[in-house]
Amino acid sequence: MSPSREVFDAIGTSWSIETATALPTPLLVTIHQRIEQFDRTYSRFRPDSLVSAFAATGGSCEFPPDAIALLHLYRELYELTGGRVSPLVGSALEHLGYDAGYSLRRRPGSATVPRWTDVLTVEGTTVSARKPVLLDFGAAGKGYLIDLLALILREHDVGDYLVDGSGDLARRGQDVFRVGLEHPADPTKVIGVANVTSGALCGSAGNRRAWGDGLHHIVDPRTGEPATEILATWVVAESALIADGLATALFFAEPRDLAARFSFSYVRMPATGGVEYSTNFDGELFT
Amino acid sequence: MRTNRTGYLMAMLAGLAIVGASTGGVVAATSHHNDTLAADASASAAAQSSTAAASSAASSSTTSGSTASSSAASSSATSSSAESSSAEVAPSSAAASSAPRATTARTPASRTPASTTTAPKTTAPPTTSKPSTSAPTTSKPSISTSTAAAASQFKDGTYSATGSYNSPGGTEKLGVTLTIASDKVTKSELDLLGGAGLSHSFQAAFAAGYSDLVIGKDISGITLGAVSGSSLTGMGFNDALKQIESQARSQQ
Repeated sequence: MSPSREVFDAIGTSWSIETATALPTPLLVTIHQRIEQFDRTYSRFRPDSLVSAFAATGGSCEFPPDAIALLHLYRELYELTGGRVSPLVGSALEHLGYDAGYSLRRRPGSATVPRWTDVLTVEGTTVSARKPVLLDFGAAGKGYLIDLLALILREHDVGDYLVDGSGDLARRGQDVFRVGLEHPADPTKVIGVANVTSGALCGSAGNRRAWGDGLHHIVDPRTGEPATEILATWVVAESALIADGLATALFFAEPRDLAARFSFSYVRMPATGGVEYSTNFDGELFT
Repeated sequence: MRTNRTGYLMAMLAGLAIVGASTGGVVAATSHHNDTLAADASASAAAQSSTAAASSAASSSTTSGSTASSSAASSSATSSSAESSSAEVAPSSAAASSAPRATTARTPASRTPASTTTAPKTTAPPTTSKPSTSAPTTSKPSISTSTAAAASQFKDGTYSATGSYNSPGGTEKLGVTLTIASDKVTKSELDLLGGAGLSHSFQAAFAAGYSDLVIGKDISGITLGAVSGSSLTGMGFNDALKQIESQARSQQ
Protein backbone atom coordinates (compact mmCIF):
# COMPACT_ATOMS: atom_id res chain seq x y z
CA MET A 1 0.00 0.00 0.00
CA SER A 2 1.48 3.30 -1.01
CA PRO A 3 -0.81 5.22 1.17
CA SER A 4 -2.72 8.34 0.84
CA ARG A 5 -2.91 9.73 4.31
CA GLU A 6 -5.61 11.86 5.85
CA VAL A 7 -4.59 13.44 9.14
CA PHE A 8 -6.88 15.31 11.50
CA ASP A 9 -7.68 15.95 15.14
CA ALA A 10 -10.84 14.54 16.67
CA ILE A 11 -12.19 13.59 20.10
CA GLY A 12 -9.14 15.07 21.78
CA THR A 13 -6.46 13.23 19.87
CA SER A 14 -4.73 12.93 16.52
CA TRP A 15 -6.01 10.65 13.79
CA SER A 16 -4.64 9.27 10.60
CA ILE A 17 -6.47 7.31 7.95
CA GLU A 18 -4.37 5.65 5.30
CA THR A 19 -5.75 4.15 2.14
CA ALA A 20 -4.26 3.11 -1.18
CA THR A 21 -5.83 6.00 -2.99
CA ALA A 22 -7.01 9.35 -1.72
CA LEU A 23 -10.45 9.32 -0.20
CA PRO A 24 -12.99 11.33 -2.18
CA THR A 25 -14.31 14.43 -0.50
CA PRO A 26 -17.84 13.13 0.04
CA LEU A 27 -16.44 10.13 1.88
CA LEU A 28 -14.30 12.40 4.03
CA VAL A 29 -17.39 14.39 4.86
CA THR A 30 -19.18 11.21 5.82
CA ILE A 31 -16.30 10.23 8.07
CA HIS A 32 -16.21 13.56 9.85
CA GLN A 33 -19.95 13.57 10.26
CA ARG A 34 -19.74 10.15 11.80
CA ILE A 35 -17.09 11.33 14.25
CA GLU A 36 -19.18 14.35 15.14
CA GLN A 37 -22.23 12.22 15.70
CA PHE A 38 -20.24 9.89 17.93
CA ASP A 39 -18.66 12.70 19.90
CA ARG A 40 -21.97 14.45 20.36
CA THR A 41 -23.35 11.27 21.86
CA TYR A 42 -20.59 9.88 24.04
CA SER A 43 -18.23 12.71 24.96
CA ARG A 44 -18.27 13.93 28.49
CA PHE A 45 -15.99 16.78 27.41
CA ARG A 46 -18.64 18.73 25.56
CA PRO A 47 -21.70 20.23 27.19
CA ASP A 48 -23.95 19.54 24.21
CA SER A 49 -23.43 15.78 24.25
CA LEU A 50 -26.03 13.22 25.16
CA VAL A 51 -23.80 12.02 28.00
CA SER A 52 -23.60 15.53 29.43
CA ALA A 53 -27.35 16.00 29.16
CA PHE A 54 -27.90 12.65 30.83
CA ALA A 55 -25.54 13.61 33.63
CA ALA A 56 -27.57 16.74 34.25
CA THR A 57 -30.98 15.13 34.28
CA GLY A 58 -30.68 11.49 35.12
CA GLY A 59 -33.84 9.59 34.39
CA SER A 60 -34.18 7.72 31.15
CA CYS A 61 -32.24 8.37 28.00
CA GLU A 62 -32.44 6.90 24.53
CA PHE A 63 -29.03 6.28 22.97
CA PRO A 64 -28.52 5.81 19.24
CA PRO A 65 -28.50 2.28 17.82
CA ASP A 66 -24.70 2.12 17.80
CA ALA A 67 -24.77 2.20 21.59
CA ILE A 68 -25.86 -1.43 21.77
CA ALA A 69 -22.43 -2.89 21.09
CA LEU A 70 -20.68 -0.39 23.33
CA LEU A 71 -23.01 -0.82 26.27
CA HIS A 72 -22.92 -4.57 25.87
CA LEU A 73 -19.14 -4.66 25.97
CA TYR A 74 -19.06 -2.44 29.04
CA ARG A 75 -21.48 -4.73 30.80
CA GLU A 76 -19.41 -7.76 29.93
CA LEU A 77 -16.18 -6.17 31.06
CA TYR A 78 -17.87 -4.93 34.20
CA GLU A 79 -18.80 -8.50 35.06
CA LEU A 80 -15.45 -9.98 34.08
CA THR A 81 -13.45 -7.46 36.10
CA GLY A 82 -15.63 -7.44 39.17
CA GLY A 83 -16.82 -3.93 38.41
CA ARG A 84 -13.43 -2.43 37.79
CA VAL A 85 -14.12 -1.54 34.18
CA SER A 86 -17.10 0.71 34.54
CA PRO A 87 -18.78 3.50 32.61
CA LEU A 88 -19.55 5.10 35.97
CA VAL A 89 -16.09 6.56 36.55
CA GLY A 90 -16.93 9.90 34.95
CA SER A 91 -17.37 11.76 38.22
CA ALA A 92 -14.25 10.20 39.70
CA LEU A 93 -12.23 11.36 36.72
CA GLU A 94 -13.67 14.82 37.13
CA HIS A 95 -12.78 14.72 40.78
CA LEU A 96 -9.20 13.92 39.88
CA GLY A 97 -9.10 16.86 37.53
CA TYR A 98 -9.74 15.13 34.22
CA ASP A 99 -12.78 17.21 33.51
CA ALA A 100 -14.33 18.93 30.54
CA GLY A 101 -12.35 22.08 31.29
CA TYR A 102 -9.13 20.12 31.71
CA SER A 103 -8.60 21.72 35.09
CA LEU A 104 -6.11 18.92 35.82
CA ARG A 105 -6.43 19.79 39.45
CA ARG A 106 -7.47 17.27 41.95
CA ARG A 107 -10.30 18.26 44.19
CA PRO A 108 -10.17 17.67 47.93
CA GLY A 109 -11.27 14.38 49.37
CA SER A 110 -11.93 11.20 47.52
CA ALA A 111 -14.40 10.17 44.88
CA THR A 112 -16.56 7.11 44.96
CA VAL A 113 -17.76 5.21 41.93
CA PRO A 114 -21.30 3.87 42.24
CA ARG A 115 -22.07 0.26 41.47
CA TRP A 116 -23.77 -0.43 38.19
CA THR A 117 -26.69 -2.25 39.73
CA ASP A 118 -27.26 0.51 42.24
CA VAL A 119 -27.74 3.27 39.73
CA LEU A 120 -27.89 2.10 36.16
CA THR A 121 -30.34 0.11 34.07
CA VAL A 122 -29.68 -0.65 30.44
CA GLU A 123 -32.33 -2.11 28.22
CA GLY A 124 -31.35 -2.14 24.60
CA THR A 125 -30.40 1.45 23.87
CA THR A 126 -32.39 2.85 26.73
CA VAL A 127 -30.24 3.84 29.67
CA SER A 128 -31.85 4.77 32.95
CA ALA A 129 -30.19 6.18 36.02
CA ARG A 130 -31.71 6.37 39.46
CA LYS A 131 -29.68 9.46 40.07
CA PRO A 132 -27.73 11.68 37.69
CA VAL A 133 -24.50 9.97 36.69
CA LEU A 134 -21.70 11.09 34.44
CA LEU A 135 -20.95 8.25 32.07
CA ASP A 136 -17.44 7.83 30.77
CA PHE A 137 -16.75 5.73 27.72
CA GLY A 138 -13.03 6.30 27.78
CA ALA A 139 -12.20 2.62 28.18
CA ALA A 140 -13.59 1.50 24.84
CA GLY A 141 -15.14 4.49 23.14
CA LYS A 142 -12.24 5.39 20.94
CA GLY A 143 -11.77 1.82 19.84
CA TYR A 144 -15.42 1.69 18.92
CA LEU A 145 -15.15 4.86 16.88
CA ILE A 146 -12.17 3.35 15.07
CA ASP A 147 -14.35 0.36 14.18
CA LEU A 148 -17.17 2.58 13.02
CA LEU A 149 -14.83 4.50 10.73
CA ALA A 150 -13.33 1.29 9.42
CA LEU A 151 -16.85 0.10 8.70
CA ILE A 152 -17.47 3.17 6.57
CA LEU A 153 -14.28 2.49 4.64
CA ARG A 154 -15.32 -1.10 4.02
CA GLU A 155 -18.79 -0.04 2.94
CA HIS A 156 -17.19 2.25 0.38
CA ASP A 157 -14.86 -0.44 -0.90
CA VAL A 158 -11.68 1.50 -0.39
CA GLY A 159 -9.63 -1.67 -0.21
CA ASP A 160 -6.94 -1.92 2.40
CA TYR A 161 -6.88 0.72 5.10
CA LEU A 162 -5.38 1.84 8.36
CA VAL A 163 -7.40 3.82 10.86
CA ASP A 164 -4.98 5.06 13.48
CA GLY A 165 -6.31 7.02 16.43
CA SER A 166 -2.96 7.82 18.02
CA GLY A 167 -1.76 4.28 18.42
CA ASP A 168 -5.12 2.59 18.73
CA LEU A 169 -5.75 1.24 15.29
CA ALA A 170 -7.70 -0.99 12.97
CA ARG A 171 -6.20 -2.24 9.78
CA ARG A 172 -7.02 -4.27 6.74
CA GLY A 173 -3.97 -5.26 4.78
CA GLN A 174 -2.02 -7.98 3.06
CA ASP A 175 1.41 -7.33 4.48
CA VAL A 176 2.63 -7.21 8.04
CA PHE A 177 2.41 -3.82 9.67
CA ARG A 178 4.81 -3.22 12.53
CA VAL A 179 3.48 -1.32 15.50
CA GLY A 180 5.92 -0.22 18.17
CA LEU A 181 4.86 -0.67 21.78
CA GLU A 182 5.78 2.55 23.48
CA HIS A 183 7.81 2.29 26.64
CA PRO A 184 5.58 3.72 29.37
CA ALA A 185 8.52 5.40 31.02
CA ASP A 186 10.25 6.66 27.91
CA PRO A 187 8.33 7.71 24.81
CA THR A 188 11.50 7.63 22.74
CA LYS A 189 11.71 3.88 23.24
CA VAL A 190 9.58 0.91 22.40
CA ILE A 191 9.56 -2.29 24.42
CA GLY A 192 8.58 -4.37 21.44
CA VAL A 193 6.83 -4.56 18.14
CA ALA A 194 3.47 -6.05 17.32
CA ASN A 195 2.84 -7.43 13.87
CA VAL A 196 -0.60 -6.57 12.61
CA THR A 197 -1.88 -7.56 9.23
CA SER A 198 -5.63 -7.29 9.54
CA GLY A 199 -7.32 -6.62 12.82
CA ALA A 200 -7.05 -4.14 15.63
CA LEU A 201 -4.47 -3.16 18.18
CA CYS A 202 -5.10 -0.88 21.11
CA GLY A 203 -2.85 0.18 23.92
CA SER A 204 -3.45 1.79 27.25
CA ALA A 205 -1.02 3.40 29.63
CA GLY A 206 -1.09 5.98 32.31
CA ASN A 207 1.92 7.90 31.17
CA ARG A 208 0.67 10.28 28.54
CA ARG A 209 -2.60 11.47 29.86
CA ALA A 210 -1.09 12.03 33.25
CA TRP A 211 -1.02 15.22 35.19
CA GLY A 212 1.26 14.62 38.09
CA ASP A 213 1.15 12.93 41.49
CA GLY A 214 0.30 9.63 39.91
CA LEU A 215 -2.85 11.04 38.40
CA HIS A 216 -3.91 9.55 35.12
CA HIS A 217 -7.04 8.63 33.26
CA ILE A 218 -7.45 4.97 34.16
CA VAL A 219 -9.42 5.01 37.37
CA ASP A 220 -10.02 2.04 39.60
CA PRO A 221 -13.66 2.16 40.68
CA ARG A 222 -12.79 0.35 43.90
CA THR A 223 -10.70 3.23 45.11
CA GLY A 224 -11.69 6.14 42.94
CA GLU A 225 -7.97 6.56 42.32
CA PRO A 226 -5.84 5.92 39.25
CA ALA A 227 -4.85 2.31 38.75
CA THR A 228 -1.39 1.50 40.03
CA GLU A 229 -0.76 -2.20 39.46
CA ILE A 230 -0.22 -2.07 35.73
CA LEU A 231 1.80 0.45 33.77
CA ALA A 232 0.77 -0.33 30.23
CA THR A 233 -1.20 -2.84 28.18
CA TRP A 234 -1.60 -3.71 24.54
CA VAL A 235 -4.21 -5.95 23.03
CA VAL A 236 -4.59 -7.34 19.54
CA ALA A 237 -8.10 -8.48 18.71
CA GLU A 238 -10.56 -8.70 15.90
CA SER A 239 -12.15 -5.35 16.60
CA ALA A 240 -10.82 -2.15 18.09
CA LEU A 241 -13.83 -2.01 20.41
CA ILE A 242 -12.76 -5.25 22.03
CA ALA A 243 -9.05 -4.49 21.89
CA ASP A 244 -9.58 -1.10 23.52
CA GLY A 245 -11.88 -2.44 26.20
CA LEU A 246 -9.57 -5.34 26.98
CA ALA A 247 -6.56 -3.03 27.14
CA THR A 248 -8.28 -1.27 30.01
CA ALA A 249 -9.60 -4.50 31.49
CA LEU A 250 -6.05 -5.85 31.71
CA PHE A 251 -5.34 -3.15 34.27
CA PHE A 252 -7.83 -4.85 36.55
CA ALA A 253 -8.21 -8.48 35.57
CA GLU A 254 -6.14 -11.53 34.90
CA PRO A 255 -5.76 -12.38 31.23
CA ARG A 256 -7.12 -15.89 31.71
CA ASP A 257 -10.39 -14.53 33.00
CA LEU A 258 -10.78 -12.40 29.92
CA ALA A 259 -9.60 -15.18 27.62
CA ALA A 260 -12.55 -17.23 28.75
CA ARG A 261 -14.74 -14.84 26.81
CA PHE A 262 -12.59 -13.08 24.21
CA SER A 263 -9.99 -14.14 21.68
CA PHE A 264 -7.01 -11.84 21.84
CA SER A 265 -3.32 -11.59 22.40
CA TYR A 266 -1.74 -9.15 24.77
CA VAL A 267 1.36 -7.61 26.25
CA ARG A 268 1.31 -5.84 29.57
CA MET A 269 3.78 -4.30 31.96
CA PRO A 270 3.09 -4.70 35.66
CA ALA A 271 4.28 -1.94 37.96
CA THR A 272 6.44 -4.51 39.69
CA GLY A 273 8.56 -4.76 36.58
CA GLY A 274 8.89 -7.05 33.64
CA VAL A 275 6.60 -7.82 30.79
CA GLU A 276 3.79 -10.32 30.54
CA TYR A 277 2.58 -11.55 27.21
CA SER A 278 0.40 -14.22 25.77
CA THR A 279 2.21 -16.83 23.79
CA ASN A 280 -0.04 -16.13 20.83
CA PHE A 281 1.34 -12.60 20.67
CA ASP A 282 2.73 -12.04 17.20
CA GLY A 283 5.69 -9.76 17.45
CA GLU A 284 8.92 -9.11 19.26
CA LEU A 285 9.68 -8.02 22.77
CA PHE A 286 12.97 -6.35 23.52
CA THR A 287 13.88 -8.05 26.73
CA MET B 1 21.97 -37.55 28.47
CA ARG B 2 18.87 -39.37 27.69
CA THR B 3 17.79 -38.87 31.16
CA ASN B 4 18.70 -35.25 31.09
CA ARG B 5 16.65 -34.55 28.09
CA THR B 6 13.92 -36.62 29.45
CA GLY B 7 14.16 -34.56 32.56
CA TYR B 8 13.65 -31.45 30.54
CA LEU B 9 10.65 -32.74 28.81
CA MET B 10 9.16 -34.36 31.79
CA ALA B 11 9.65 -31.33 33.93
CA MET B 12 8.06 -29.29 31.25
CA LEU B 13 5.13 -31.59 30.98
CA ALA B 14 4.82 -31.79 34.67
CA GLY B 15 4.71 -28.05 34.67
CA LEU B 16 1.94 -28.21 32.17
CA ALA B 17 0.02 -30.59 34.26
CA ILE B 18 0.36 -28.45 37.32
CA VAL B 19 -0.68 -25.30 35.63
CA GLY B 20 -3.42 -26.99 33.75
CA ALA B 21 -4.83 -28.34 36.93
CA SER B 22 -4.68 -25.15 38.89
CA THR B 23 -6.45 -21.93 38.39
CA GLY B 24 -3.94 -19.45 39.58
CA GLY B 25 -0.53 -18.04 39.14
CA VAL B 26 -0.08 -17.24 35.55
CA VAL B 27 3.17 -15.51 35.96
CA ALA B 28 4.66 -17.58 38.66
CA ALA B 29 3.74 -20.83 37.07
CA THR B 30 4.91 -19.85 33.67
CA SER B 31 8.01 -18.33 35.02
CA HIS B 32 8.80 -21.49 36.83
CA HIS B 33 8.15 -23.41 33.72
CA ASN B 34 10.50 -21.30 31.74
CA ASP B 35 13.10 -21.35 34.43
CA THR B 36 13.12 -25.02 34.10
CA LEU B 37 13.35 -24.83 30.40
CA ALA B 38 16.12 -22.34 30.43
CA ALA B 39 18.22 -24.11 32.95
CA ASP B 40 21.36 -25.44 31.43
CA ALA B 41 22.85 -28.82 31.89
CA SER B 42 23.90 -28.21 35.45
CA ALA B 43 20.33 -27.85 36.38
CA SER B 44 19.22 -31.15 35.04
CA ALA B 45 19.05 -32.51 38.52
CA ALA B 46 16.73 -29.72 39.41
CA ALA B 47 14.68 -30.52 36.40
CA GLN B 48 14.41 -34.07 37.55
CA SER B 49 13.38 -33.09 41.01
CA SER B 50 10.94 -30.71 39.51
CA THR B 51 9.44 -33.62 37.72
CA ALA B 52 9.10 -35.49 40.90
CA ALA B 53 7.71 -32.55 42.73
CA ALA B 54 5.12 -32.20 40.10
CA SER B 55 3.70 -35.54 41.03
CA SER B 56 2.48 -35.98 37.57
CA ALA B 57 1.63 -39.36 36.35
CA ALA B 58 4.01 -39.02 33.52
CA SER B 59 6.15 -42.01 33.00
CA SER B 60 8.55 -43.00 30.38
CA SER B 61 10.98 -45.59 29.38
CA THR B 62 13.78 -43.73 30.99
CA THR B 63 12.32 -42.21 34.06
CA SER B 64 10.54 -44.21 36.60
CA GLY B 65 6.98 -43.23 36.71
CA SER B 66 6.30 -40.97 39.58
CA THR B 67 3.15 -41.48 41.43
CA ALA B 68 0.22 -39.37 40.67
CA SER B 69 -0.83 -37.68 43.82
CA SER B 70 -2.79 -34.80 42.47
CA SER B 71 -5.12 -34.03 39.69
CA ALA B 72 -2.21 -33.73 37.37
CA ALA B 73 -2.71 -36.45 34.91
CA SER B 74 -0.78 -38.40 32.45
CA SER B 75 1.55 -36.96 29.96
CA SER B 76 2.72 -38.36 26.76
CA ALA B 77 5.62 -37.11 24.83
CA THR B 78 7.59 -37.74 21.81
CA SER B 79 10.83 -36.23 20.90
CA SER B 80 13.29 -36.52 18.20
CA SER B 81 16.51 -34.86 17.49
CA ALA B 82 18.04 -33.71 14.31
CA GLU B 83 21.31 -35.35 13.70
CA SER B 84 23.11 -32.25 12.71
CA SER B 85 21.19 -29.07 12.82
CA SER B 86 18.30 -27.43 14.51
CA ALA B 87 16.25 -27.31 11.41
CA GLU B 88 14.41 -30.51 11.78
CA VAL B 89 10.84 -30.71 12.75
CA ALA B 90 9.75 -33.23 15.22
CA PRO B 91 7.78 -36.01 13.68
CA SER B 92 4.72 -35.57 15.69
CA SER B 93 1.99 -37.76 14.47
CA ALA B 94 -0.43 -35.93 12.34
CA ALA B 95 -3.48 -37.31 13.93
CA ALA B 96 -5.85 -34.51 14.49
CA SER B 97 -6.97 -33.72 17.90
CA SER B 98 -9.82 -31.39 17.32
CA ALA B 99 -8.28 -28.11 18.15
CA PRO B 100 -10.04 -25.26 16.47
CA ARG B 101 -8.82 -22.75 18.99
CA ALA B 102 -5.31 -23.93 18.88
CA THR B 103 -4.85 -23.46 15.23
CA THR B 104 -6.36 -20.07 15.12
CA ALA B 105 -4.99 -18.67 18.33
CA ARG B 106 -1.44 -19.77 18.02
CA THR B 107 0.71 -17.37 16.15
CA PRO B 108 4.43 -17.88 16.31
CA ALA B 109 6.03 -15.07 18.16
CA SER B 110 9.62 -14.23 17.74
CA ARG B 111 11.43 -12.57 20.51
CA THR B 112 14.92 -11.64 21.17
CA PRO B 113 16.76 -13.86 23.54
CA ALA B 114 17.78 -12.78 26.95
CA SER B 115 21.28 -11.59 27.03
CA THR B 116 22.28 -13.00 30.36
CA THR B 117 21.41 -15.56 32.95
CA THR B 118 19.22 -18.53 32.65
CA ALA B 119 16.13 -16.60 33.33
CA PRO B 120 13.11 -17.25 31.20
CA LYS B 121 13.64 -14.55 28.69
CA THR B 122 11.45 -16.02 26.09
CA THR B 123 12.75 -17.32 22.91
CA ALA B 124 15.21 -16.76 20.21
CA PRO B 125 14.69 -15.24 16.81
CA PRO B 126 12.58 -17.35 14.54
CA THR B 127 14.06 -20.68 13.80
CA THR B 128 13.76 -22.28 10.47
CA SER B 129 11.68 -25.05 11.82
CA LYS B 130 8.01 -24.71 12.08
CA PRO B 131 6.54 -26.35 15.07
CA SER B 132 3.94 -28.80 14.21
CA THR B 133 0.46 -27.80 15.04
CA SER B 134 -0.75 -31.29 15.37
CA ALA B 135 -0.16 -33.32 18.39
CA PRO B 136 0.50 -36.89 19.13
CA THR B 137 -2.60 -38.55 20.24
CA THR B 138 -1.09 -41.71 21.50
CA SER B 139 -2.44 -42.39 24.90
CA LYS B 140 0.57 -44.35 26.02
CA PRO B 141 2.84 -42.25 28.11
CA SER B 142 6.12 -42.84 26.46
CA ILE B 143 9.21 -41.00 25.57
CA SER B 144 11.52 -41.96 22.85
CA THR B 145 14.77 -40.21 22.61
CA SER B 146 17.60 -40.60 20.27
CA THR B 147 20.48 -42.27 21.89
CA ALA B 148 23.91 -41.08 20.95
CA ALA B 149 24.01 -37.60 22.34
CA ALA B 150 27.34 -35.89 22.49
CA ALA B 151 29.00 -35.80 25.85
CA SER B 152 27.09 -33.64 28.28
CA GLN B 153 25.32 -31.83 25.47
CA PHE B 154 21.81 -31.97 24.28
CA LYS B 155 21.40 -32.58 20.69
CA ASP B 156 20.24 -29.64 18.74
CA GLY B 157 16.81 -30.13 17.38
CA THR B 158 13.18 -29.47 17.70
CA TYR B 159 11.15 -31.50 20.08
CA SER B 160 7.47 -31.64 20.48
CA ALA B 161 5.39 -33.13 23.16
CA THR B 162 1.84 -33.29 24.25
CA GLY B 163 0.81 -33.05 27.83
CA SER B 164 -2.57 -33.98 29.04
CA TYR B 165 -4.36 -33.27 32.22
CA ASN B 166 -7.71 -33.88 33.72
CA SER B 167 -10.08 -31.03 33.96
CA PRO B 168 -13.66 -30.96 35.15
CA GLY B 169 -14.59 -31.08 31.50
CA GLY B 170 -12.52 -34.14 30.74
CA THR B 171 -9.02 -34.78 29.56
CA GLU B 172 -7.34 -31.80 28.00
CA LYS B 173 -4.17 -31.56 26.03
CA LEU B 174 -1.45 -29.07 25.55
CA GLY B 175 1.11 -29.35 22.80
CA VAL B 176 4.58 -27.99 23.26
CA THR B 177 7.34 -27.58 20.76
CA LEU B 178 10.85 -26.83 21.89
CA THR B 179 13.86 -25.91 19.88
CA ILE B 180 17.14 -26.72 21.53
CA ALA B 181 20.42 -25.37 20.31
CA SER B 182 23.73 -25.59 22.14
CA ASP B 183 22.11 -26.93 25.26
CA LYS B 184 19.68 -24.08 25.49
CA VAL B 185 16.04 -23.92 24.73
CA THR B 186 15.95 -21.30 22.06
CA LYS B 187 12.31 -21.47 21.30
CA SER B 188 9.23 -22.85 22.88
CA GLU B 189 5.75 -22.75 21.61
CA LEU B 190 2.47 -23.88 22.95
CA ASP B 191 -0.43 -25.28 21.11
CA LEU B 192 -3.68 -24.88 22.89
CA LEU B 193 -5.43 -28.06 22.04
CA GLY B 194 -8.31 -27.68 24.38
CA GLY B 195 -11.83 -26.82 23.57
CA ALA B 196 -13.94 -23.92 24.63
CA GLY B 197 -15.05 -22.78 27.99
CA LEU B 198 -13.44 -23.45 31.28
CA SER B 199 -10.65 -25.60 29.98
CA HIS B 200 -9.75 -23.01 27.46
CA SER B 201 -9.45 -20.43 30.17
CA PHE B 202 -7.16 -22.70 32.13
CA GLN B 203 -5.01 -23.19 29.13
CA ALA B 204 -5.07 -19.54 28.33
CA ALA B 205 -3.72 -19.04 31.81
CA PHE B 206 -0.82 -21.16 30.93
CA ALA B 207 -0.32 -19.56 27.59
CA ALA B 208 1.31 -16.55 29.09
CA GLY B 209 4.87 -15.57 29.39
CA TYR B 210 6.80 -13.35 31.65
CA SER B 211 10.00 -11.52 31.17
CA ASP B 212 11.62 -9.69 34.02
CA LEU B 213 13.83 -7.53 31.91
CA VAL B 214 12.55 -4.73 29.78
CA ILE B 215 15.24 -3.20 27.70
CA GLY B 216 13.50 -1.36 24.95
CA LYS B 217 14.92 0.07 21.80
CA ASP B 218 15.08 3.58 20.51
CA ILE B 219 12.19 4.26 18.21
CA SER B 220 14.57 5.96 15.84
CA GLY B 221 16.52 2.75 15.47
CA ILE B 222 13.81 0.57 14.02
CA THR B 223 11.27 0.77 11.27
CA LEU B 224 7.73 1.01 12.48
CA GLY B 225 4.43 1.69 10.85
CA ALA B 226 2.96 3.16 14.00
CA VAL B 227 3.56 3.39 17.72
CA SER B 228 1.03 2.43 20.32
CA GLY B 229 0.96 3.50 23.90
CA SER B 230 -1.19 5.83 25.80
CA SER B 231 -2.69 8.13 23.28
CA LEU B 232 -0.70 11.03 22.11
CA THR B 233 -3.03 13.88 22.68
CA GLY B 234 -3.56 16.61 20.23
CA MET B 235 -5.59 19.32 21.74
CA GLY B 236 -6.97 20.53 25.02
CA PHE B 237 -5.17 18.16 27.29
CA ASN B 238 -1.71 19.03 26.14
CA ASP B 239 -2.46 22.71 26.17
CA ALA B 240 -3.70 22.49 29.70
CA LEU B 241 -0.72 20.44 30.70
CA LYS B 242 1.63 23.07 29.35
CA GLN B 243 -0.19 25.72 31.31
CA ILE B 244 0.12 23.71 34.48
CA GLU B 245 3.80 23.18 33.87
CA SER B 246 4.48 26.84 33.26
CA GLN B 247 2.52 27.74 36.35
CA ALA B 248 4.51 25.25 38.33
CA ARG B 249 7.74 26.75 37.08
CA SER B 250 6.69 30.28 37.88
CA GLN B 251 5.86 29.25 41.41
CA GLN B 252 9.35 28.01 42.06
